[in-house]
Formats: sequence, C-alpha cells, structure tokens
Amino acid sequence: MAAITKADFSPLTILVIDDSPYMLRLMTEMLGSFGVGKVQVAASAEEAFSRMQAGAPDVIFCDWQMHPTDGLAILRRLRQHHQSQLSCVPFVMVTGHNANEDVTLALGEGADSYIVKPFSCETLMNHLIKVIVQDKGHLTPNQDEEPEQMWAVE
Amino acid sequence: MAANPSAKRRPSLLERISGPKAVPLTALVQKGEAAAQRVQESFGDFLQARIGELMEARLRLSGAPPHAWDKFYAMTVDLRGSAAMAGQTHLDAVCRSLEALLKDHVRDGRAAGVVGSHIDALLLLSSGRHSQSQGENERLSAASRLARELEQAVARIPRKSAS
Repeated sequence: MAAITKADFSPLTILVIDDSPYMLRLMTEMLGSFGVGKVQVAASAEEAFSRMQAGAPDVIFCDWQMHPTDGLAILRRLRQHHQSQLSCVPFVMVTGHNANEDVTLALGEGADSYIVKPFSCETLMNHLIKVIVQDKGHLTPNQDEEPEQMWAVE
Repeated sequence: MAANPSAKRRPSLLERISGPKAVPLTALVQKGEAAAQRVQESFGDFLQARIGELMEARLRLSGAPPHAWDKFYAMTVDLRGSAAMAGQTHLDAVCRSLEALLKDHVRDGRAAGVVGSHIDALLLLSSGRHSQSQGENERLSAASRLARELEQAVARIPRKSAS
C-alpha cells in the first residue's frame, strides 16, 4: 500500500483518556492542530465509558497508568464486548513504560498501537495513521446502532 | 473470518480521511508542534498543582494501606510522563527515582521519609531556586547530583521480597 502523505481528519472523533490535565490539554491541542473534527477527553474510566455510551469514537488514545482503573482494564473491558461496535475501536495505549513485557501485554490484550512518553508530534501522527490504515471496522455493526450497556461503577 | 451478513458497511477510517480537503501530513505535524510548544509554556502551573497534591498525599503515607501507596505511585508516574513530555529532564529523573522506590521497595515509615526527600527535590527544582544565584550549567549539575543522591537513598531502602 502506498504511504499516506495527506489526510483530512475533520470527519473523525477521537477520545483521549488520561488522568493528567496537562496530558489531556497537550493531546487535545496536538490532535486539534491535526484538524481532528472532535477531540473528546475523559479523566477516568468512568467518564470515558459514560462518553462512549453516547457514541463510539473513531480512535481512542488511553493512558495506561491511572488510578483506580488503569488503561489496561479499560482496554480489556472494551475488547470483551464482542457484540458492541466499541470492541473494535482502534486503541492506542500511551505509557511511560517501554519494557518489552508491557508492550507485549498491551498488544496481546488488543491494543492496536503503543506510544511511549515522551513522544513527538510526528510520532503521534505516525501512530494515528497506523491505526487508521489497520482499521477493519467497516464490516462491524452500523454506527447508528445503540451501544450496549458496557460499564457499571462497582 | 466470514463477515456478518446483517452488518452494514460503513466507510473505513482510511476512506473517511481521504477526502478532497486532505492536506499534507508534514504541514499538520508542524501545526501540532507549534500547539505543543504553547501548551508546554503552561507546564509550571500544572507542576505546582501536582506537587501540592503529592505533598498532601505524602503526609498520609506512613502506615497507610496499599491503595494509598498505589494512588501515590500513579500520581508519580503521571508527573514523570508529563515532565518528560514537557522536556523537563531533571524532574523526570527525580520522578523516576521516586517511582522505583514506590514500585520495588518496602513501603514503610523509612520509605515514606525518602518519599519526602523526593518531594522536597521536586519543590526545589520547580521553584527555580538555583537559577537565582547560579548559572545554567551549575544548576543542571546540582540537579543531576540531587537525582543521584536520591537514587542512593532509595537503594538503602530494603527491596520487596520476591513472592
């Protein structure tokens, strides 16, 4: 496949999940500068799933190290719901840890890509393009269908 | 895998970003870099707020249950990642040392004291106290020494037993 050199991200909605206000702002500004149509933010798992009940994003960037529910738990919860359109939303894990076992674990649980902090704008763009090119969601249930109930605060 | 016959086809993400208004990625990356630079200028405000939260949490650490230490660990990791993104290498180094202490060592009163030393170091680095009387090279050298001393303090705390 030819390399992607141009894009119009305005039709996309991207959800950023991070408990750091600084990272949320940084990611929002960078993705907004890329021309992403809608950047949603969530500071916790509960807030993220609450947002997703209203509609699935096209791509998720999620921090791993959050408390009490971390990014891996969010990823597992998403991927467990085979009947939901959310189960196949491209998911990029964002983390400060670059150990091989961490990368393997996240990818094994269904992450589509993995970014280690600190990262540049170019790296962010490369990962965004990577998961867009890999996306197989066009054969999943229609976007207009109601997402099923996925999350209950325990 | 066979496609679900009841599924409706929607455009792929690649199709959706390939419209007539597509612009070169290099131009978008340049815009993103400029935006990131603007956000980095506000890092000091975030840092002060986060250090304040760590100071409060630290006071409750000694004798605290594991989840309190876990939350403190998550806050430290968060600060390290944000500091790294903002190019604050010395803050990053102090946070790494603190992270190692919280992750790999016994969580007792002695460890809580070393946690306090790390918070003091973060406060010192964030206040820019060195820069008032010292040159940049001297300031960076002092920050490096401080990070090394903290690592040595962490090394004196017993490690968790492997179980």
